Amino acid sequence: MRVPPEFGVSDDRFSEIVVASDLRSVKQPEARILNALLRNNYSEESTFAIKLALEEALTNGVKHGNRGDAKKTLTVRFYIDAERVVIMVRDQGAGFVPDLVPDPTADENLERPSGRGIMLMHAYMTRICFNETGNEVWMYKENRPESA
Amino acid sequence: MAQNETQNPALHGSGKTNMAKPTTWRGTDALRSTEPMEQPSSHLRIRRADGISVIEFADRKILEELSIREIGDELGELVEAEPGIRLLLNFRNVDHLSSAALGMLITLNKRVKEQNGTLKLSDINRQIFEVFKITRLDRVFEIHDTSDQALAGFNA
Repeated sequence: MRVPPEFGVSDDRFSEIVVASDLRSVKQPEARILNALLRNNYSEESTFAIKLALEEALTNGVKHGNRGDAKKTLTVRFYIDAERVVIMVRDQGAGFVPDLVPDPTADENLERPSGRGIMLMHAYMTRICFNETGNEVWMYKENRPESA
Repeated sequence: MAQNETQNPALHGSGKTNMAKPTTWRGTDALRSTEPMEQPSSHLRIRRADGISVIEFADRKILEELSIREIGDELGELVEAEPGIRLLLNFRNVDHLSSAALGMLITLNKRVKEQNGTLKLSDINRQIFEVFKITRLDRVFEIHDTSDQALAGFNA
């Protein structure tokens, strides 16, 4: 899937990292992205939000997408400037249908131990979208001082 | 062994008779020094205050994905060892959280209830508390601003 045009960044401006699909290896792209936020003077609040959403996406890719198979890889692409962050995480799994994930904030689901990752990504980023297969997530956040 | 129990009422279920006053923080690795097969390190600092087990996380990144299962296991052991446990998790060292950490806390809360115990959380910073609110888990957990308030509630 190409960069969603509404994110306003052309395809060739992205950095790309491919890592082994395990929780330790995914720290590498995470560190690169967090460093870039620092360089671009993102607020502590925005950094918290992006880190949280990014970790949910990476964890989902490792655990659910690639189902813990460390022989598979995760591809992370990102573009960061002072105004916006765009991050893509793609796994090698079969994908899923986001609309079928139950609402974790419904009363009957409140005490379920899992299922909150995607709603947190939605809550903390300006926009997220999936490719048709569901194995690729794009996350976009505007860097506004007042945004959470 | 008697000496070990005195040092470590939380792990041996002897809290009712060992109402130790607040003491210094210490890791469970130190508490388990007589059990060489245990893991040599701990993610938790545990102290005992009037029969209440007060837990702090040993470093700020502690609730990251890699540590969560170990923390859950360690807390689960405490809960299993003491039916009716009164447990306070102090979040003052925590500045990041994930859905997996929330899941671990939900599972812990269930285990505490099954043991007829009580779990409270305190000292959660504003950003972390926002995560609890967004997920509506502020309704599931008993959350206090400070550990003093939480401790007072246990004794009320």
